[in-house]
Amino acid sequence: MLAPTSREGRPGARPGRGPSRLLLLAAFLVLVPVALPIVSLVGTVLANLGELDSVLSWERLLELSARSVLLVATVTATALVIGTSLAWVLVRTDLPGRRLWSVAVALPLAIPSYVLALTLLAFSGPRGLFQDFAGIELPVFDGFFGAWLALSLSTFPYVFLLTAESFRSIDPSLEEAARGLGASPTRVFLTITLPQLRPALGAGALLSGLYALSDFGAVSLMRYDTFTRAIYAQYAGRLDRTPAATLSILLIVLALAFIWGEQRSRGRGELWSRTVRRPAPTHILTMLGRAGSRIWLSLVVVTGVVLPACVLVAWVARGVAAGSIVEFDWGALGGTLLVSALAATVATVFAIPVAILTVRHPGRIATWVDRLVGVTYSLPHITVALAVLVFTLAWLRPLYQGIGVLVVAYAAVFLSQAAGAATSALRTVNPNLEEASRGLGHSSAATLVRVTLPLIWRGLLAGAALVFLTTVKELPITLLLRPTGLDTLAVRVWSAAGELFYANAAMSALLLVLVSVIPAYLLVIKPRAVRA
Amino acid sequence: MSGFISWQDVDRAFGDSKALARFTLDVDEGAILCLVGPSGCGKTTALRVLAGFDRPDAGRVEIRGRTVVDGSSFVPPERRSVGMVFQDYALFPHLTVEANIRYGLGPTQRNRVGEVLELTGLEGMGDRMPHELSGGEQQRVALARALAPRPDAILLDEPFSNLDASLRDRMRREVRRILNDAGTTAVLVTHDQEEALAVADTVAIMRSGTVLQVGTPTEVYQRPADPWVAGFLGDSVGLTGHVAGGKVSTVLGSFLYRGPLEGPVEVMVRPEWIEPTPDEGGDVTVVDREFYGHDQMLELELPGGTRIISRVGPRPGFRPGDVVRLKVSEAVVFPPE
Repeated sequence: MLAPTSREGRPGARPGRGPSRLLLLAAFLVLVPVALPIVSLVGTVLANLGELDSVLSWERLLELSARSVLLVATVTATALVIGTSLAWVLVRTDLPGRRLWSVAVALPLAIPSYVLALTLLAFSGPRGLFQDFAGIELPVFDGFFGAWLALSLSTFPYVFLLTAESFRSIDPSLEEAARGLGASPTRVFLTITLPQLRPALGAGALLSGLYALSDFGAVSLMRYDTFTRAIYAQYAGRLDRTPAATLSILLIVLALAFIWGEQRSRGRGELWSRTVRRPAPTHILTMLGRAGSRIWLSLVVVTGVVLPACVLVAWVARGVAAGSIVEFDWGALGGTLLVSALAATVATVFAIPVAILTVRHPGRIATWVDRLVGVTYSLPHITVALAVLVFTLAWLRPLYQGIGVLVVAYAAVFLSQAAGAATSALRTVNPNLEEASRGLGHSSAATLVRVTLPLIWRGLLAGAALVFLTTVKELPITLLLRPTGLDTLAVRVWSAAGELFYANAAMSALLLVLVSVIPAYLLVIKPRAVRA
Repeated sequence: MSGFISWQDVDRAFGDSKALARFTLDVDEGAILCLVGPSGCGKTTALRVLAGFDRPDAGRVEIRGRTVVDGSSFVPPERRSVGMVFQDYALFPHLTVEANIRYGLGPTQRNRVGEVLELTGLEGMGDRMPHELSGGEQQRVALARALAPRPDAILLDEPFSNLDASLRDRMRREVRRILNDAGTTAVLVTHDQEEALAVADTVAIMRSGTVLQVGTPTEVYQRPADPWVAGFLGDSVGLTGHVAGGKVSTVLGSFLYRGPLEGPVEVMVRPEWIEPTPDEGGDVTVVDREFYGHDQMLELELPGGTRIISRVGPRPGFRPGDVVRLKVSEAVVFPPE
C-alpha cells in the first residue's frame, strides 16, 4: 500500500489537521536545551560588550583565525584527495578484494581524533616507539604537522563514504556520451565525473572542515593553538567567562561562514541521480595501476588503522612490563558506558516529537525545528559546553556539575542523529494506520505507544546506537560538564596524554576504540561498504 | 564488399545468455538503419559494441572500412567517430545546452554550435540548462551534441521511448529530417516495429542475437522472411495451404505461386490484403467490427468456420451479421513448420 501524499508531496504527511497542542508542547520542551547554547552565548557577549577589546588583542585574534583557517584548509584538501582517490579505486576499478579494503579504510571512523593524536605522539619523538624499535629518533609529530595528520586521518573516511556512494550513483551513460564525443578518459573524469561528484565533495569538505575547525582534543594534545584550544585556555585560566564566550561566538561565526561558503559555491546546473539500471563502467587496472593502488591503500590503512592499533597495544605492554599499569580502574569504562547510554536514551525520547512534527505536520514550524536541530549539531562542542556551563551557573545553580546537565547537553547536540533516524523510520509508516487506531477508540498517546512506536523501534534503536557511538568519543562537553568524580575513557585519554603518561592513556584509548568499533562497523561502515 | 558500418560474426555473451550470436549486418553510407526486435534480443548490445562501450567476445566490427574491434585490436570509443544519442539523453546536467554541444568540438569549430542549433531547431536555447528543457528539446540537444563533431555515424538507442505518444510522432519526423539534412549514416535501435518502419531506410529484424531479415520497410513488411517476422511487424492472418501445379490453395481461394515449394505450406496474408465487398449472395459473414475512423477492422467467418481479420477503409455496409464476398490481392508462402 502506498502512503498518501500531501499537497507538498512529502510522503507520510497527514493532511488537514495541524499539530496537536500536546505535540507542540513536547517539541517546545525539546527545543529549549537545543536552542539554549546559542542564546546563552549571545547573551553573555551582549552583556559584556563594553569590555571586549580589553579581553583579547587583535593580533592574537588574527593569529588564532589564521591558524584555524590554515588547519581547516589543509585538512579539508587532504581528506578530499585521500577519500576521493580511495573511493575511485574501490568503486570504479577491478582491484581484487575491494570490499575488504573498503571496510579497512573506513575503520578510522571508530578512532577519535585525540586517540590518533596520542598514537602519533607516542610513536614519534625521543620516548617514542619508533626509537625503541629502530633506534633512530624521529622528530615529534606535534604542532601543525601533528594536528594536520591526525585530523586528516580522522576525516578522510567521511569523504570516502560520501564519494563512494556518489561514484555508484552517477549515470554511466553520461561518461559514455563524453567518450563517444571524443573525450579521453582523463578529460571525462575532469569534466564529467568530477562535476557529478560535486555535491558529495561539497558535503565531504563541509564535514571535514567543520570537524577540523571544531576539534579540541587533537589540537590541544598537539599543542597547536586554534580557537578551540584558546577557548579552553581562557576557560581554565580565568573566572570571568566573557573572553571564552567571545571566542566561542567568533568560532561559531567562522563555522557558519564556512557552511555559507560551501552553499554559495554550488553551481547552477542540476545534479540529479537517476535510478541507475547499469553499474558504472569498471576501469581495468594495468599491472602498474594495480600495484600503485595497493601501495596507496596500504599506506592509508597502515597509517590510519594498523599503526594506531599497534602503538596502543605496544604502550599497554610497555606499561604492564614497567609496572605502571598495575591494575586498571574500570570506573572510567563504567562512566563512559553510563553517560553514553543515558545520552542515547534521552536523545531518542527527544527525537520522537521532532520526528512526528517533521513527518506528519510539515510546514514552517517543522522547518525551523529542523534547522535549529541541525545548527546545534554543527556547533563546535567546546562552545556548546561553555554555553551550557555559563547558563547553568547563572540560572540553574543547583544543577551545576550534575549528571543531568551533562546528559541533556549531549542529547541536545546529538539530537540531529537520533531525529534523522526516527524521521526516516516514521516516513515508512502509513498515517492511515494511526488514524485507524484513533477511529477504533484509542487516544493519540495510546496510538503512539501501541501502533507507531512498535513500527519504528528499529529506526529509533539505530539512532540511539549512533548517539551512543558519538557520545563515547566525545571529549570537550564531557571535560567541561562532567560531575566531579565521574570519569570517562575520553577524559582519561586526554588527561593522561596531556601529562605524557602514554601507557595509561594507551590503556584507556584501547578500551575506547574497542567500545566504539563494533557500533561504528555495524551502523556506518557495513551498510555503506563497497559491494564487490 | 562490406558496408560503411559492418558487424561480422560478432559474439557477445553475458554469463549464460548470448546477447549476440554470430551477429552480421552491413549499413550503407548515409542510410538510416533501424535495428528492431523484442526486448532482450541483443539490439542494444550490438549498438554498444559498435560504439565501443562493450567489447565483443569474438568477431569484427568495421566503421568506414577501418576495423575498430576484432580479436586483437580495440579502438577506444573516443577515437571511433560515432555519436551516440542515449535513451535517457545523458545530457551533462552541469553544463548549458551550448556547452553540452561544444563538448565534442575542438577550439576551432566553435561556429559549428550555431549550425547544429539551427539544424535541430534550438536557436536561442544555448544558454539554458538541461533541466530547464522539455523532453522533446532535451532530445534535440542530445542529437545536436552527437551531430556537432560530424561523426561518421550516429547511433540512437530507443530515442523516442521517453517521449509521450503525441510528441513521439512529431519527433520521429523531425529526427528523420535532421538526419537526412545532415546526411549522416545512422543506426537506430527500437523495440517498436511501427517506429522502425516509419523512420528507417533499411530495417533489420533481430531475434535472439541474430539478424533474421534485412530490407526496406516495404520489403520486410510485404515479404517477411518467416512467420515470426510477419507477426512481429504487423497484424497477419496465418493459414495452411497446399502447393500444386504453380498454384497455392487455401480457405481463401487459390493464388498463383512461383517458387520452389511443393505440397503443404503456410500462407500469410495481411488484413489489408483481404478486401470484402457487401454481397447478398456471399458466403462470408461479418462477425464483429472495430471502427477506428481512418479505417476499420472486421472479423469475418468463412464457410468452414475459420475466423480471419480484414482491414478496410471507413466504408459503410459492414455491420455484424452482414454477408460479404472476399477478394485477396496478395499472399506470402512459407515452408511448413
